[in-house]
Amino acid sequence: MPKAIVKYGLPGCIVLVFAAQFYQVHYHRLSRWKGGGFGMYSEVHPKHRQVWLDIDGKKTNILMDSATPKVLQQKAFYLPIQPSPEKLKAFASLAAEEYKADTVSVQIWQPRLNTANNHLTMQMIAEGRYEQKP
Amino acid sequence: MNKSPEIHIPDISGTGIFLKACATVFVIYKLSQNIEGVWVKMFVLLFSLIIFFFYQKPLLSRFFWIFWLLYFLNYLFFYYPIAANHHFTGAYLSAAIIIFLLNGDENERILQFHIRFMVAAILIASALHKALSPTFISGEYFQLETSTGEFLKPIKNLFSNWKNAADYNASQLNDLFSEPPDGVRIYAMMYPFNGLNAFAKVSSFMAIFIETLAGILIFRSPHKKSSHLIYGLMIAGVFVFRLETGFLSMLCAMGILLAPNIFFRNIYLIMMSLFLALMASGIGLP
Repeated sequence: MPKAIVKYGLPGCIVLVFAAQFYQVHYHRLSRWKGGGFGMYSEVHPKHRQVWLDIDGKKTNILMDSATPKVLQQKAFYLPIQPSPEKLKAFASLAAEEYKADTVSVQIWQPRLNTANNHLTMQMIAEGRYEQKP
Repeated sequence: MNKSPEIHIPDISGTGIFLKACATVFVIYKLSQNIEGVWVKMFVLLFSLIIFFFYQKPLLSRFFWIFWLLYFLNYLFFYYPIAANHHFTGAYLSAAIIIFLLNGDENERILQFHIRFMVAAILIASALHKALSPTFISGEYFQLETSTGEFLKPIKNLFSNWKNAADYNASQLNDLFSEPPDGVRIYAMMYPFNGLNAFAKVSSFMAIFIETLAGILIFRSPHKKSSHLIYGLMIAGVFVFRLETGFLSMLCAMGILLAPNIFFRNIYLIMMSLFLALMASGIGLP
């Protein structure tokens, strides 16, 4: 095998993985914690994000609610990791189908801290909606 | 191609019994936790133990590292979105050692280059993510994790006021999670110590600075003691702040391969033993 491949093949792979992760983080909202192992401890962990489903004003924490259909729970598991608009919209559409609802909103919330007074609150960081066309 | 390499890298075969013990305890710990995928991990550890028992120099066995590389690659392929940094680092490290064991001439120099590059890439990329993260650079993330006792765990338990405040804040966070979020409800957290805000901001900048510095120094001057002093301090700092034992064990393993003398090699070895023991017993896991 050529020496250059032996020497630079592995570093090249590392650079490619980093470039792919960096792109996903900045253009497709991948959590910095995931997908490359480079950005851990640089933001709130996805496990501290919550996925709430809003159907006609009734809110459900779908990862915690045991009544949620399994297919939705399995898909929802990845939403805090990558809450991209496309994934949220697809999920809202699936939820509308499962619950036979006309309007569904899926929201990702995460804790925010006011550093000046150490007060904690929740902030919605992403939302996807499904509305049935008339 | 298959010429046996001359080994100038440190011989740490004396740690074999310790590694066997750690792997055994880890298997028992994982089984007791009944977590998803535990049987795959158990099979991997069992295979590793068998190699450790039957090979004279298991760490120089190609099968051992190829097996681990396949495990990591399989994990990265099927669980890419949820893989953690130690899965990626484990894959890079296994690949670097396999390349070392398969090649003839100049293999040690290439291994050292790979390890230096890995350390630099991992640390500088990590620092870049931190610098570009709005919640990290503002000190918010650091303050939140310190307030709830997730950071500085070993020190927190030494001070009762700090521990009480952290426990209270952690319960506030749980309360916050138990209610449907509205963006309005506010939970007041206690200050574990005075000057938390300034401490969080300074620590955030220091983390970025020292990770970048350690990465650059290890890549440019891997044989200088000062480079390893900074690298060792960074590892110790990360341990005190966030108990990231699995990943730190790998950073120590890379330190062992680059150590400029026996003193630093032993320091890395002691730190790696501590981290592996904490990881195997579950004490050092989140």
